[in-house]
Amino acid sequence: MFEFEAGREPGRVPKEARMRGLFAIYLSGILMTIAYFAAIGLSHH
Amino acid sequence: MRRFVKENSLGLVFGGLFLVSLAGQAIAGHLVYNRDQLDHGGEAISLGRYLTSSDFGQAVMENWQSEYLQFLLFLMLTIWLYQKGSPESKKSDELGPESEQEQMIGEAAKRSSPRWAKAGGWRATLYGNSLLFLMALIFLGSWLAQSLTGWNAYNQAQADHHSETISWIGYLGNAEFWETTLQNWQSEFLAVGSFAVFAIFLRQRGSPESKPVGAAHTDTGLEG
Repeated sequence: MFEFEAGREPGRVPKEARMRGLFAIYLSGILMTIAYFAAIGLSHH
Repeated sequence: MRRFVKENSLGLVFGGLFLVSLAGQAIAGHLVYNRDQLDHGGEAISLGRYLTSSDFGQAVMENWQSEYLQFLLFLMLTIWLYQKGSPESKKSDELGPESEQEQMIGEAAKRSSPRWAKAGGWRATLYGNSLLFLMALIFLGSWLAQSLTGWNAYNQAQADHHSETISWIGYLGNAEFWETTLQNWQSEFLAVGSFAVFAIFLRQRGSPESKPVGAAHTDTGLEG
């Protein structure tokens, strides 16, 4: 979904791919933490 | 590696500050929890057990939901609402979702535009609201998690005091749930509203959150 101008030169890791890594870490960390606490809230009933 | 750190310093530093703060909250929260337990004739628990407790979950989630509500409302309201002189507001003639041309959608897209912006139609509509959707998902998810952990902790305290436990729906109508929710909301709304107004007259040189130092107080939507 994301295609930026940067990182188009041959032989280089696209900057976008590295930024995607940071995006994925934030997103998965947030969603997994929410799911973890929701499960804890439900687990003792 | 050095290049990666330089190009992502804002995201990395805030991520690091978050992890250190969360660890500090866990350690301090564990001490408070155990002191409270011993004061009430209960047993102390390990840090590991505290990390899987509803008390810790509630403390974390009630702050998360309010932060993402703040972003959600800020994103949504700044499309339509205006604050003359504020760098956080658009200019009065730019209010609304703007044209396809201004937003570089469909035929107005550039070569470097995201694929779904180039595609136009429903994909551009979905992608054009994707940040708002994610903020809404995180807000609602963390608010739900706050309600579940808060309900669990509330019922544990009720059971400890040999009082009646309540249903989840019952907890949603409980004053404790709304106190923990609204104490976080009020601070977020005050911080955002006051920042938007303070930034009319005050400046921070070099920050994109401020107008340039020499910008007029009446200039709106100019960033530094």
